[in-house]
Amino acid sequence: MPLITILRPGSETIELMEESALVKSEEVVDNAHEYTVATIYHLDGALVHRSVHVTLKLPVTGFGRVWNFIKSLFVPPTTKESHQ
Amino acid sequence: MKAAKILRYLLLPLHVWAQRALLMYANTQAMCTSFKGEVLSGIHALGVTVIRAATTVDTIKAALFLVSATINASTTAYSATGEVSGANYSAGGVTVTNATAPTTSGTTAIWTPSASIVFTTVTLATAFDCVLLYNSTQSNKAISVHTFGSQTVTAGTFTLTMPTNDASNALLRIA
Repeated sequence: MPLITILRPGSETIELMEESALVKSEEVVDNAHEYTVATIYHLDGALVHRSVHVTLKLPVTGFGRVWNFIKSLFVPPTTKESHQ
Repeated sequence: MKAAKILRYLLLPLHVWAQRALLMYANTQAMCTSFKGEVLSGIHALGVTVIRAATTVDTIKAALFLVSATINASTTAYSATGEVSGANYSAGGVTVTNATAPTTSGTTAIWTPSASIVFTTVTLATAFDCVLLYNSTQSNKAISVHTFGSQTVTAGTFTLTMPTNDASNALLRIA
């Protein structure tokens, strides 16, 4: 049986406890931004362990060519044909 | 005659669009893909730069910040202000595993840490929702900010799993 690290309320010392002695629950967030699973253990009704696993779905992007292309759409045509 | 002129005028945008869509121009304005990748590796210095002590990879770190902090695109460097604190969490966060060099995929330069960012057996009682990646080799200069739903951790592990390192999903992309 796996051992879980726990922190009892008011304590500053982490203990190990068999998982079977704890009440386990999970919270899942799955949206366009992230997929997150929080694994939670309670002992006698008190939260004693909470681990979180986040997978980010939205990368951060710097736009070079794309932004220039978008800007170009708003610039009036300057080709010879446009003046005819 | 006048109607023909108007019709010609109305059709002009379609003509321009068609040219762009079919890439009929011989020359195409673009940021060179190689440049995008080289920017991530610090090859170019279009402004005043720093004297680098070595050609080795910089040390990248990840720090967590409280919901109450203000970390965003305007952040220029890591600061402990607003950073989480708690058992087994060291100010400044953890070193990011960076075994995969920046590369390009299609016309996009990409980079992703080569392993999950893990804060092991920490207790972070005050809600946090942000990780700042920064360059600890270069005066802690900021790289990127990533947010997620508000979290706390109790005697547990906080793990940020990295996305696939491709043009659509890489953690950092210059498109």
